[in-house]
Amino acid sequence: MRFYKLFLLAFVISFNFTNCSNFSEPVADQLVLGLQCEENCDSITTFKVANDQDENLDVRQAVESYLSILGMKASSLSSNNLTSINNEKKRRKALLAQDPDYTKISTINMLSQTSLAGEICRTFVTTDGLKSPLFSGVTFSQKPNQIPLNNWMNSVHNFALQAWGRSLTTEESIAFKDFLQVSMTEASRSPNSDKIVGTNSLESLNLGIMICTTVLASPEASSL
Amino acid sequence: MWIVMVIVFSWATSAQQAPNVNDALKSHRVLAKKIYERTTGVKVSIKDPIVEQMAKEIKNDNLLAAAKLATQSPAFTNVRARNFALRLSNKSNSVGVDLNDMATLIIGIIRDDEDFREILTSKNHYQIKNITYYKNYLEFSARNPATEADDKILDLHDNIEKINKPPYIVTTINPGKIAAINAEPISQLEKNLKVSEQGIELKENPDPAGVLTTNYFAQSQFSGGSNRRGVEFVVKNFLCSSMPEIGNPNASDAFVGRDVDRFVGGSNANYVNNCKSCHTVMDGLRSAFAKVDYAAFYQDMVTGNNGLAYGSFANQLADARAVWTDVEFNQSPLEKELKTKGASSTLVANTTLAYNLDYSFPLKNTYSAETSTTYSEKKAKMISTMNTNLLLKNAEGVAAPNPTYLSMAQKFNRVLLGLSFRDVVSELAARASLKEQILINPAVAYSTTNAKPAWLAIKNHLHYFILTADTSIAGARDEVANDKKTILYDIFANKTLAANISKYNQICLDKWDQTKIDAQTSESGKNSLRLSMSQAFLICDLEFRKNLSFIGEQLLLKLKTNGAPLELQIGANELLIINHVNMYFNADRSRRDYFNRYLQSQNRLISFGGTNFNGDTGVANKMNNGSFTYGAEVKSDDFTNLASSSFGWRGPNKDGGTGINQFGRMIADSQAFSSCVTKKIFQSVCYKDLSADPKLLKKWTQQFEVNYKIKSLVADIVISKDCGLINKTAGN
Repeated sequence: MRFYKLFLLAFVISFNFTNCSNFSEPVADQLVLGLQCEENCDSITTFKVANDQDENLDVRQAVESYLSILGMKASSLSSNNLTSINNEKKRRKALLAQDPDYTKISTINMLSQTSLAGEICRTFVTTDGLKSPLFSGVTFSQKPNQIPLNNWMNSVHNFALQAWGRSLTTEESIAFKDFLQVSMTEASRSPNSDKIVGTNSLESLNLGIMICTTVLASPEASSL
Repeated sequence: MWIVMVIVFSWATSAQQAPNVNDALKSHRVLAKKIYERTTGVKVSIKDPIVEQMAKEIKNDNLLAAAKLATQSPAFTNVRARNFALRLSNKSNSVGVDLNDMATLIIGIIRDDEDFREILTSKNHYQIKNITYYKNYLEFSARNPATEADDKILDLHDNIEKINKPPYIVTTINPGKIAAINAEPISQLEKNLKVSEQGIELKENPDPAGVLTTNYFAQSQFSGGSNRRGVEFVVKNFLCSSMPEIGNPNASDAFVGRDVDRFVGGSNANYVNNCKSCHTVMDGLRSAFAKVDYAAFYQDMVTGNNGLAYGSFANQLADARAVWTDVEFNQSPLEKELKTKGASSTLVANTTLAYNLDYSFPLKNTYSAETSTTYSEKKAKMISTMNTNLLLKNAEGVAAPNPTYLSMAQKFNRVLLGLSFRDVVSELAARASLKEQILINPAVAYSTTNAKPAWLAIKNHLHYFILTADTSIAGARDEVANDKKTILYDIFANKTLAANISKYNQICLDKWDQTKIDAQTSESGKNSLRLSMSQAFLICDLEFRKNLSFIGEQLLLKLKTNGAPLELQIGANELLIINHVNMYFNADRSRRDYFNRYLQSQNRLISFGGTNFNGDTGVANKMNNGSFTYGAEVKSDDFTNLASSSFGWRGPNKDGGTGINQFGRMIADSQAFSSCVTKKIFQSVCYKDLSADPKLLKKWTQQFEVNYKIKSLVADIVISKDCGLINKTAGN
């Protein structure tokens, strides 16, 4: 519990100091995205992507979306994992948005999205995620603080690209770094810090799940 | 806690940071991702292969091809088509309902890129692969394969298959098979299963009409009522209108049914102003559904409500009512005697039923039928079952059989019914040894014509009373006041109070030396106990006993039972027997359930079907409910369309037709249908309501009517400037 309290504290402090209410305009990092203009760039500059009519995701949409973003398929899941996700899906069905009107999103909706994303991320991290390029540089057999911060940050970047289609903004990077630093410190002090699941560190897996969930449960990944 | 952490973090990091639009424009893949997501309703990784494919099309300035790629994806079927179908399948247009066969059909038609009008006219159906196969009625009624698929997060794109034949419906019950099953000395469970598997036939729907003949639609629209609900649903969901809007005050009301009062509140003007307009159109159309009904054909009392939850889709020869009968009785001298005496079939049937009610409190010792071999077996089974049930459900954790219960069960076999003291006394004259087992109304018993000593002699041997008659007789009231059994009266006077129901059960239990329940069971335990003690409740259910006693009396006193061959007495009140039987079956559900369980405990629950349809016309009886003889009588499933021409009626059935399929054709051919579908698709893809822009709506409706394909419409819409996703200023 202390871990999470500190976690929250660090998060709040970091956002206070980074003046989170006045984010600057994000800058898409085309190079990192691998989305650099190929040839006929001019031909598409006349297209405008509007984002002012977002849609809340219902439960099936959310599940399909999270699985899709992570490159997973329900049909490939083990029965245990499928059952876990399905149970979470059933629990959250009535709590997720029933109305696609994005302006009507509630705290309950957000919590439910996060919980659902967390369950799918748990499945992902403990199965495909261990070898996924999204976690390139992260060796889960090591404890969180044995893995360089930049490697964790690289994963965050990868997840952001995968789910949001863009790289992190400066402010987001700062926030994530704070998040990771506090998490790594707390994980090393956790009673479970030495606990191994299979051949992997429990706390490293947990941090992987947190990164994944944080990105998936964000508005950009949880609405259309 | 961690969820809160993550959510705060995730929202804070990105909530206020929509990607820079101008930068995003520079990527084909960003655009492809956006088109894919809006088309399918599913978020996708920007590195997904399909995004790459779409980006290539966009690069070649072929947005439409890119959008069409998205409509071909499983995600489009699994979310966009699925949600669209779910919304169409319920009146509140919610996606929160379970996947069902109605939605499955719509999804299948969209996936296969068929003419969307087929949803109302298709003679085929869609089902979930490897899940939907109805071996028998029990599966048909109790399962929802589509929901099972939902639970598995099944890829509907690959797992919905088209079946080139109409869906099953229940057609008729096979009486011969059921009779044979009933005759077998097998348990209730085995009987139920056998009847379900062999006694009820599933056949292909003779008048298939897409979603209108799916089980889900039938369940919600044809259950009870007068089949008007189906019309209203179609008008709302497929024409985007309402009954007041489709009403026609100028048309003839010649089709308005017999259940609609033309003189509401004594005034014809009320009818003309408030009822006529809607009913004129609605009743003209509802007869398309004249030959369908929805009912539970077979109540599976073994698995409880599971068998009842979905019921069945009934058509033509269908049935909604179950009666209880007894195979032993059917083979007994009593039935033969009744028939020999020329009793009507109705009386025989209802006497059979009444007999069985009696048999629930076995009077078998007085009837020759009891000599059958299965009787003794069933009696032993009953005692055993009751003993076990009472023991297992008493929440006391007692592991060994309780001799008290065994004693109780045995006592059940020695109960004689009677309402009228005089009649019972006269009956007792022939059977003195049964005095101590009489059920009696003490208020009647203690009358001026019955001396107190006689009353006392009887009441001291009673197990319990029926206190339903005149309690103003002071002598009787005072007498019972000194008796602990009197409490039953007080409780009965306030029987609707939950506390009294519980207390009443308690007393019943106490009667059988089931003491100290309060001290030994928790509140929840008592509730459980109360439910499981249905047999005991039944014994104490005064309303039930009253009816039962009356029926029993009629039978007992009108038939000679003292060893001589059974003989129907002239003057047996056939109508009263029937009325009381019906009174029982029209009683509230909980009472029926108690009775059902009781019969089940004795392996005596057998359900049969009657018919809810007119044998000559095939029209459901409920279509002609009502007492206003000036109303129209529905004699066929011919329907007439009297709605306003503003709905753009077209095609061969624009003025009417016969049956559900032609009704579906009439709706599907209308302009209003095209317009409604277009509006809903536009809304679901672009989150814009076209209602406020008739010109735009007309434009897209015409586009839809080019081929009536949903995928084409979605692809066209999503890349259009009208949708707002892309503000394209050059080319297409």
